[in-house]
Amino acid sequence: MEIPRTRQGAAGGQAPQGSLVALTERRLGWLDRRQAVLAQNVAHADTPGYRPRDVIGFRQHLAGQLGPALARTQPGHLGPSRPGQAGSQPDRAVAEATPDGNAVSLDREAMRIAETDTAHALAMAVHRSFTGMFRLTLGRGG
Amino acid sequence: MDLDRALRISAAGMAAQSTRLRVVAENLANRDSTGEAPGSDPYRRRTVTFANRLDRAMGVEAVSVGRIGTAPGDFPTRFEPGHPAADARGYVKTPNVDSLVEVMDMREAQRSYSANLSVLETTRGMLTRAIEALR
Repeated sequence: MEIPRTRQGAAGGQAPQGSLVALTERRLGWLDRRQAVLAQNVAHADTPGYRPRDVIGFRQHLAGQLGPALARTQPGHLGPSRPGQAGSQPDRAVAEATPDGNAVSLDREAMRIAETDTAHALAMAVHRSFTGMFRLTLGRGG
Repeated sequence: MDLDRALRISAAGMAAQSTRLRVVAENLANRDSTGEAPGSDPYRRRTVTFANRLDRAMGVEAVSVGRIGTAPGDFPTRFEPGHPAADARGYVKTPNVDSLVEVMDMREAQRSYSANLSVLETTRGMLTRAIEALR
């Protein structure tokens, strides 16, 4: 995956570690949001008519975040129409629905949660190892 | 913070399933509750519905118990002329509670509860890892 260069070094050069840390931070933010959406799906496993949702892909998420987001400077400014659905979309991989219209499959959600958990552990490990380098440079030990 | 929201969503799901389990317990406990006056209606089975509730403060769609209603349907009758609730022909109306249906409902509530619990544990693990990064 192409790493977006988001942070430039002070002298204008590339700062690979800095951008990698920024990328892991975004990855962690995306995984946090995904976990919330998946938790919502599991909580609604018995709600009639509920269709499961999933977040948009990480690649799309990154592409969408490169431009600045619109700031809400006044309380009257309109935000996303349904705050609970911001950044997520209906799950297209729905195989079947129960007679009451609910389409949540607990095993599929469990698999995705496990996936999110593993990805979170990986991102945290990368983040820790890089911040460890910074700490080493500052002389505080790894 | 999204992980915090995930925790709250799971907690709301567990609370809703607990309410469902409470209603199942009520139904099972009252499966022999007949009326007291001759020809009166016995206990009517209660049902739970779940609804999607948008929590605007948190910005999440949590699950909540929509309404606790009663199940329609005729009551089964039993011939027992000596019973205080027996009508003129000697028949007693018994509750429309089916133990098998209740046990199935109970199992389903139990499964959903543990699914929510495991999501909660995973989320907690993620939070703990994030906190450990501060050390």
